[in-house]
Amino acid sequence: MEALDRALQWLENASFLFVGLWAFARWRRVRTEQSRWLAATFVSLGGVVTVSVLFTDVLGVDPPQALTRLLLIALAAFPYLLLRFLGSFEAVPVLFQRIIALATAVLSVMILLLPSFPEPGDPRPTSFIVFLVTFVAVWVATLPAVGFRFWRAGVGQPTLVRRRLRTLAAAATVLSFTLLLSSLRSGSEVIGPFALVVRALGTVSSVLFVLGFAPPAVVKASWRHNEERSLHEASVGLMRTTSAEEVGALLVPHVRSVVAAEGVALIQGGRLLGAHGVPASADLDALVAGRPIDGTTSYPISDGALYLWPNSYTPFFGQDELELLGRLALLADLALARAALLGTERATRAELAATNEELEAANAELESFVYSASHDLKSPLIAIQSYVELLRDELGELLDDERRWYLERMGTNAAYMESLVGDLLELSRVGRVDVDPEVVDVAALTAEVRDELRERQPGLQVEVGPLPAVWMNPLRCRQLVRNLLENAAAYGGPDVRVWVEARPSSRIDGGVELLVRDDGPGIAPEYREKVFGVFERLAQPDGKSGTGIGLAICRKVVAATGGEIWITDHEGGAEFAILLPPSALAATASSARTSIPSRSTEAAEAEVAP
Amino acid sequence: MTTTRILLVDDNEDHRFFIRRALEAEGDDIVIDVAVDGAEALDSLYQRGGFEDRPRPHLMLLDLRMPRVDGLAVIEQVKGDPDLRSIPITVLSSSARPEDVNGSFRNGGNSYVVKPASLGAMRDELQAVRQYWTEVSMLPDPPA
Repeated sequence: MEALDRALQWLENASFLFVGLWAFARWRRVRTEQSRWLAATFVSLGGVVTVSVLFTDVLGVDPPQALTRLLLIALAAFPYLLLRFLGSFEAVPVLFQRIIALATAVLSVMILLLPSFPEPGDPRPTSFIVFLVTFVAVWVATLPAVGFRFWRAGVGQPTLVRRRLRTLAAAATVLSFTLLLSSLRSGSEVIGPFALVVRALGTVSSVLFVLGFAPPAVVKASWRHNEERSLHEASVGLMRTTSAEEVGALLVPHVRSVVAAEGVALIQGGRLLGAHGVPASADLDALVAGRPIDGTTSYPISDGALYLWPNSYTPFFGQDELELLGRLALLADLALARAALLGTERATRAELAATNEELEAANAELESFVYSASHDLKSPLIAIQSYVELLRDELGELLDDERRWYLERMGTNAAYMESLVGDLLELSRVGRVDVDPEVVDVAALTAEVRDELRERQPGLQVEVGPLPAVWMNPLRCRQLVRNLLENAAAYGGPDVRVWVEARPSSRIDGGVELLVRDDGPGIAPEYREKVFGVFERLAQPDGKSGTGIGLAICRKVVAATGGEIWITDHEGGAEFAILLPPSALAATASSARTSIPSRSTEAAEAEVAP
Repeated sequence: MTTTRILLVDDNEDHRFFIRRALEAEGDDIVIDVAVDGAEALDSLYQRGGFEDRPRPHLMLLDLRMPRVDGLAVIEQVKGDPDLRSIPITVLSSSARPEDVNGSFRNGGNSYVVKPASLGAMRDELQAVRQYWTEVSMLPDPPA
């Protein structure tokens, strides 16, 4: 029992000494009113303990009477000092503080005036008993009151701060009881159960003070569980936010629950993203405008800050929580950067969509305009052509050659205009109408087109080499082949020879180049790009001219497959090259279409293999 | 041979002239009634608005793009009316757009001819159409 008592006493002394040293170190580091009163309170208590231990246990003698009086005065002042420490956080009723000050002064005077201190076991003189009763009365009256105030201060604070304040409240209360009980203790040397209980209470109180002021990391972590959870929730939530406003709305309540602060405001890029509990007197507009205001603590984030209006307990008890807040601010910063990126992306996408819509609308409008225009142009053309025909039929006999030639020219021109209108209409439709691809046998198609053209131009010779099947809209593919062959026939003369061949592309892996070459006069290099423009045409040998739209249609048809068409540097005649990507080739496209079933067949075979 | 009555609906005066010429060139017994747009065509069919005395036509030749009521709407109206739906409608338009051709048949049009730019071709086309709808094929008569 003695050993246990010794151990408890050792723990108690060590605890008070630790709190004293801790308070002193803190005061050396942070010179605030709070740390000053805290240091005064616990350095004196720690000093009393240290000196007592030094004399009793190390030197084995009682301290001199004068020193004993000094230690007792320090002990008597403990409640007053603790009250002043509390007063540095919140207003303590002046009357209460004065009564305690007066009581402490009276005690001090009594300590100085006492003739002597009885040895343990000696009978106690009346004056000593009066002193003892007064001493205990002051402690018992003061410490629980101070404890109650600590307890109350914890309301609405983050868990860690609340627990620390309540631990201190318990420590103060237990300490006062310890003193009360130990004053009732008889001075006997024998250590009985009662003495042990008193000793245990004192130890508990000292440990509670340690926990309240400087909780070890493991205790802090467990007390902080709620805040950590809140922080975790915030981090999960923040990573889901997609706008700065959401970040603000989510962050502010979490900040409040993590840190002891009156108010919180999140400001970025000149915008208030969220605020809570900001004092009415605070000039938020100034903060938003980027001017710092008094009474706030801020955590910088990119292009803004998280502002806190701390309460009086925040600097002393909330220091660790402020560090948690740093993590939260970092998360918020990330979330805001992410939201900004998402916002930019959204805006870009919306802009693109709008532009796309506009383009589509413009295209549709153009198509409808070209259609209407061509239709409206066609009606009068049909009339003109028909009237010309009527005139020729009815006046043919009466007209001389020259007048008949006039009529013929009228008819020719009207017919030319009709083909212009028709080609323009086709050009506007390529890539918009008739786009569904099919497998097209280009060799057969070319032969067909050749036979059609030979009806008009029997001297035309077309040699068709081995050509791949393509994956194109058949109507468009026919337009492409027909326009190119017509072009060769028109510019190459009546007996032009045309070769249609294919070769693997050197530009796109798996692509094919179709070549349409003739032995005509060729196209001068300076016109090789120009001829693909609308209404661009070169002089034809027979003086006639095409609409100048055929090659433009070819280019549009090829472009719609993702390919390219150009005129090569081939000498002696014109050579058109059409580059078709693998996706426009029947073999590639069909193998891509059938690849899934064939793979599953392989899998099925693999399964039945022994 | 009985007289064939044809209702010609076209807003273009020149086209009406050529179509009339082409039809009359056949030398058959033909009476041509004219409507200058879709609204007038419907008035004519319903014998109202000044056309109270107009007999029912054996065949309609109908343009598509016309003011007031266009050709597609006329087809829809005529083919939706049990009393009129047996009148064969041949669309005669300068448009060869698939949308127009398909639209005409979808609404119930019976044949579609793209206006040729030559009188001779016009004559041949119209003769074929007229013969088909008056001599080869007849749509079921309206219920008595």
